[in-house]
Amino acid sequence: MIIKKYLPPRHKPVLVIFVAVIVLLQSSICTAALRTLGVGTDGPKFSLQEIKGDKQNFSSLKGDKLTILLFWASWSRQSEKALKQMEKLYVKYKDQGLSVIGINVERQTMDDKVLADIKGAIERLKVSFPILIDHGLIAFHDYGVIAVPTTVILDKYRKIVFVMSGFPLVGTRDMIHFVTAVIEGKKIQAEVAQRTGYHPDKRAVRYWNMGIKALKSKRSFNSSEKLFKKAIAADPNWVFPYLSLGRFYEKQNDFKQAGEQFQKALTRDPSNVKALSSMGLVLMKEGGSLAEAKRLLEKAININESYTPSYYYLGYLLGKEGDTKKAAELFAGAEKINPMDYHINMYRGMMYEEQNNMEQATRSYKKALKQLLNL
Amino acid sequence: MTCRPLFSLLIVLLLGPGWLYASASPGKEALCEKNASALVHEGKLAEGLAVIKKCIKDVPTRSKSHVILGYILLQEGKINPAKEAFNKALDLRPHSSAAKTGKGIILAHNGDLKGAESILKDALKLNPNPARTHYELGLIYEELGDTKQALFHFKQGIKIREQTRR
Repeated sequence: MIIKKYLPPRHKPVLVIFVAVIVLLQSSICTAALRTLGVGTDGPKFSLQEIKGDKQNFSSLKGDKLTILLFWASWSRQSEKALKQMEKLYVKYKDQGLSVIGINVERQTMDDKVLADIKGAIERLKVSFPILIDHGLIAFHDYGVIAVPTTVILDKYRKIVFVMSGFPLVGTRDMIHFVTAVIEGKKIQAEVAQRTGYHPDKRAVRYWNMGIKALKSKRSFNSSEKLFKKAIAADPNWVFPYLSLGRFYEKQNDFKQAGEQFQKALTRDPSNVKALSSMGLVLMKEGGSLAEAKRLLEKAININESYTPSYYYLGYLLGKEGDTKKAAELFAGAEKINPMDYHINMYRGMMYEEQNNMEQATRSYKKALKQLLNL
Repeated sequence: MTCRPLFSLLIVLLLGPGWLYASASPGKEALCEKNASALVHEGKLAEGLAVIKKCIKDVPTRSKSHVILGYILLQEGKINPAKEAFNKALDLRPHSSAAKTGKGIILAHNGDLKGAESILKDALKLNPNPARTHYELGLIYEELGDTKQALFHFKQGIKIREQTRR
């Protein structure tokens, strides 16, 4: 456990409480499983190849009631468990409106050997639902997957109704309950419904979607601010637009305004891992209290062990404080969860550069760029 | 009713040259190159190579096709044929940044670091945005022991790549 290693000795007595909190809060995993998207937003379209080479998309494989997308890789032990669980659900409900699609995110670039490994894993685990190969990790990035495995459940209109990163005990139990209830037409338990995430106003989602689209375009980048504000006006309790507006200001290096938005998100959802991590980073960048940033990032890790940004932000912070050993542990921890996230090497590079260790910084930046270029 | 044959003739006359144009349009060659690149992207190097060779056979004068061929050969470790492909691309389009980058990679591979540095810098002047060129320059400076320059180019490559991904 990375947390055990990371915790300072004086905190060890509270480890039991820590673990209990983690277990209780595993539910929050649903709210921060993807980088930008979440429950209530539209899942991006995809067109990917099966191992045999035939192209498939959401429309050709979707279920009448629900479609489970499982982002997995053969190098991830948790993926194996997830594949087995999804197979059980698929066999049970495939004729009642459930579709399961495994999206393999093995590596950025595939070759015959990698494809043979994937095929081997599918045969060994006797997976009968369709497996698509995400060449170049396009769907992985479009969905903003943070950890492997990640489960995204879509309704027949491609709206996200459930998300879960990793394969946590409570989250998996909730997921099975959710799928069973929807497919069998039963009522979803109130506490599970609450844990699956806030269901935002449709108008707010529409404005938010437009804002996200604008954020990605050079030409319409600035209009995203207005659209996120409209989304907030349409549903002031939904935290996504605050987070996105914060990201907009952050990209413009306006850390004060960014911090204000992240704070508003935290006021509405104090356990929101994305808000906690972003606030921690903003505090670091604007020269705010490092102790407060550290507290927020630690809290984020305690709430969700699968959200990698909290790890590399905290690693960067500890590096600033000169604790390179613990920082290295956190970077390595993030790599275990998602070795394809170039941010890990970028923040590692930033840490070494600030420490004037130029050789290590160069090596880290090189790795980050190599990942970005899919080399 | 008697007008129908005339209309048909008119349609053939109007669209006929269009069909001919479509069969030899630049769009078709670009599509051929796109198919080859897509196969490489999927890890099917041999198939990509076969497709790009066919593209070149059909239209040997497109610099971009030779650049793609060069990069596929490079990935297969066939250095000399890759060099020939990049040279051919540069003959056809002397200001191709991608071809210069490819040639720079080969020069570096053959140990001519100074030659590689020079051609990659040329490539950057022609197109200041390719992250790959910054990556290759970073590698060269790292090899030359110039950590400061290597760090600069790797960071620059990340910045450019992040902007284009946005």
